[in-house]
Amino acid sequence: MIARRIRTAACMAALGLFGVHWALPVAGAREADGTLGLIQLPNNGVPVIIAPGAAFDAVLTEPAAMFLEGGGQQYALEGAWTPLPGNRVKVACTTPDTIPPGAYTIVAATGEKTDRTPRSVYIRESFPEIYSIAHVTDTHIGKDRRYPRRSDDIIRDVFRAVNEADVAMALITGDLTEGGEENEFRRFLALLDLCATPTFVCPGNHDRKDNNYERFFGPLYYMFTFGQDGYLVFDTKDYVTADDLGAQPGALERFRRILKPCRWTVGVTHRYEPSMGMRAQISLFLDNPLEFLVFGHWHRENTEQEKTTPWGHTRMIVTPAAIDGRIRIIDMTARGMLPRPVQQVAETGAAPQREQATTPEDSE
Amino acid sequence: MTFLFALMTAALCADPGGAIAYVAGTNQENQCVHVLHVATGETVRVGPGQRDGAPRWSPDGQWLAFETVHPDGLGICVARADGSERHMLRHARKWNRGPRWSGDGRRLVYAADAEMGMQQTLMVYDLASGAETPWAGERAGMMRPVWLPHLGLLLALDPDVEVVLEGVDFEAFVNDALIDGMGLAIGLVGDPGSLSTEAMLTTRNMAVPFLRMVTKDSLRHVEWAIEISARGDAIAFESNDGGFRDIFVLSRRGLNNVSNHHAADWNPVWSNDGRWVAFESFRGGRRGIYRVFYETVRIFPIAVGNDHDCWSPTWGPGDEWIAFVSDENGRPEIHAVHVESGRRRKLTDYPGYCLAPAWYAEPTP
Repeated sequence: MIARRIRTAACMAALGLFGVHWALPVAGAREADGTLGLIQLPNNGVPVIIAPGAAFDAVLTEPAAMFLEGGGQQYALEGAWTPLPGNRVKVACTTPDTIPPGAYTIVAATGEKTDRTPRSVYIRESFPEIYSIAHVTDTHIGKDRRYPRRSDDIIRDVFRAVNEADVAMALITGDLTEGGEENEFRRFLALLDLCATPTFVCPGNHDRKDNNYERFFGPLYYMFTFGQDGYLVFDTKDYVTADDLGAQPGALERFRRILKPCRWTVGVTHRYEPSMGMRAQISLFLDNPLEFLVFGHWHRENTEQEKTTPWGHTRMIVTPAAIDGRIRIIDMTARGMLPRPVQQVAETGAAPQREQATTPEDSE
Repeated sequence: MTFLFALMTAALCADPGGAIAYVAGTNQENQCVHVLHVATGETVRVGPGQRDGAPRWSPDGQWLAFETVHPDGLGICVARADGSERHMLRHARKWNRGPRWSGDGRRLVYAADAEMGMQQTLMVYDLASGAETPWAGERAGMMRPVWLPHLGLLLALDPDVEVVLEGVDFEAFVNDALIDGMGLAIGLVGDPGSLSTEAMLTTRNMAVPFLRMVTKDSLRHVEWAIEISARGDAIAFESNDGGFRDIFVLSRRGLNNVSNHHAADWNPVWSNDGRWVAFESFRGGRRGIYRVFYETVRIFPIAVGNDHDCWSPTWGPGDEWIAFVSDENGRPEIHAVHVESGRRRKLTDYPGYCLAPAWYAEPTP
C-alpha cells in the first residue's frame, strides 16, 4: 500500500498536478485538534536548521507532494521516498540553492488533504562558531493558580523575551504543560508559534498523560546539529521504572556515535537523576561522555556542587522555571557552553504561593 | 528424498514452545507482566499492571518476580505464572528493584534504597519466613545482583588473593559464602565526579571486587550487566576495557574479550547449556542481536535490521530459539528466531508495546 502511494505521489508530482500550489485546499496546520497529521517531522517543536541547497528528512503518514512556504513564495521539494516501520514514510527533501534565509512552513499535499506545519524549516546562510541559545524550561501551561497572572500570559512574555534576545535557537526542556492535557498542549502550541527562533522541545514528567506529547510533537528522543555542534534530545519522563527496557537506550547510543565528531555535544532533557536508567548513563556520561547537559525540572539553578554529573565531567546547566518568569541565555563558544546569569523576563503578578523548591527531591 | 529433506527441516525448525513472561502496556503507568504460552498463543495477565518491571522466572517455572508500584515507591511482587496468586514482599525501604532468584527458589536478591539515589544496598528476602536481610555488608551503591548457583567459582580464585585485595579477609569471605551462599553484583566505586562501577562478589557480610584478581587495572573500566552461566562455571559481563564496550567472559580459560568491536556490545545473556552468549551490538549500524560461541569467539548475527532495532534476547528451551524485542513494525513487539535456520515468528500483537521477554527454561541439573 505504501509503495503504491509512493508511486502515485511521484507520478502526480511529475505530472505537475500540484503546480498551482496556492489553489490547493488548505486544511490548516496539523489536525483540527492540533495533533500531528500528515506531516510528522519536521514540526515546530522538532524543526530543521539547514543551509540553502541542503537536504533534510521529512516523515509523513503517506507520500505527498512537498513544498516550503515563506516570504510569500513557495518552493517545491523533491526527494526519494522510503517506507519506515509503523506505516510511515520518509523523504529526503533537497532545498533549492537559491532559497532565501528565513523560517518556512512545510506543506504536504495528497490528492485528498493538505497539511501545513509552520516554523518547521529554518534556512541559514551560515552557522557561526559563536552563537547563543535560549534555555526555556518548565512552562507548565495550565498551571493557573500559582500566580495571579495566567500561565499563558507569563509564557507569552517569556517568548517575547526570547525573540528580543539574539539567539540561534530555543531549547524548551519539558513540563511544557501542567497536566499533559490535550487542551494544554493546544495552548502551548499557540504560544510556541509566537517565537521567531527555532524551538526544540522535549517531554517532561508533567507531560505524561496518555501519549499526548507524542501526538503533538512526535518522537520522545532525537538529534540535530547546528554547525559544528551536536544536540541529543532525550526523554527522562520514564525514569522511575523500565528505564532500560525500551528503545531509547539503543537510540541514544546510536545518536551519540553519530554526533561523536562534533565540536561539542549537548544533552538536552527535562530532568537528570543519578538513578535514571544506567544504560543511558553509561552511553552518555561514561563511554562517550557528552560535554554538556542542559535541563530543568528543579525550578532552580544548579549550585557550585552540582556542576557536573557524578559519573564524569559532563557539565550540567540547570535553568529555573519559565512559569516563574525566568530563562537563561547560554553562549556557545570555542570554550564550550558559557551560561549567562538567569534572567527574570516576565512578571508573575505576585510572589509564589509556596516556597520555591530548593532540592531536586522537592522539584516538580 | 524430498520427504526426508522436509522431515529433517521440520525437525530442525520445530515450532517454539514453552512460556515467555514479558511486560506489555500502552504507557508506563499501565505496564503489566503477562505470560505467553508460545505453542498456543494463549496470554495470561499476571501482574497488577502498575509500572510492572522485567519479570524473572523462579527455577521451577511456577512463579515470577518483578518490581511494581509499592506505596511511595517500588516493591517486589511474586506472582504465580498462571495469574492465580500474587504477593507483595514487605520491604524496609521504598525503592526495590531488579529481583533475581536463588538457585533453590527460596530467596530473592534485589537492590533497595530509601530514596531514589545511588546509595542502594542489596537485600535478600527469604520467601518462607518473610524476612528481609541486608546483603553484601550493607555496602552502598550496589546494583544488578545475581546469585551464583554454587560456590565452584571460589575454587578458581587465587589462594594468594589477599595480597591483591588489600583489606579483604579472604578466609572470612569464604566462610561467609559457605554459610549463606554467594552472588555477583555491580558496585559503584570512586567519588562523585569520577564515579565508576566494578564487578563484585557478594556474600551476606562482604562485597569483594573480584576482577582485580585477574586484571590489575579493572578500576579504570566501567563494568555492567554481569551474568553467570547456568552451570556456574563462567561469568559474562560488559566492560569498556580496551576503549569500547565489549562482552567479556571469565572462565577456566581466563578473562577474554569475546565480542571485540569498535561499536558497543552489551547485555550478555547465557544460553541454557552455557556454551553461547547472546548479546546486543551496534556493529551493523542499528541495535541488533548476535551470539558468540565463547570458547572460539565465533560470532553469528541473529536478528539485525537496517531500519529498526532488535534487543533483549532470551533463549528458549533447548536453545533452539531466541526471543527478542523488535520495533520493525513501528512499535516494540516480541519476535522469535530459530537460531540455526533464521526462521522468524512474531509472537505478540499488542496494541501498545511489549518489552523484557524472559523465556522459561528447565534449570540445568
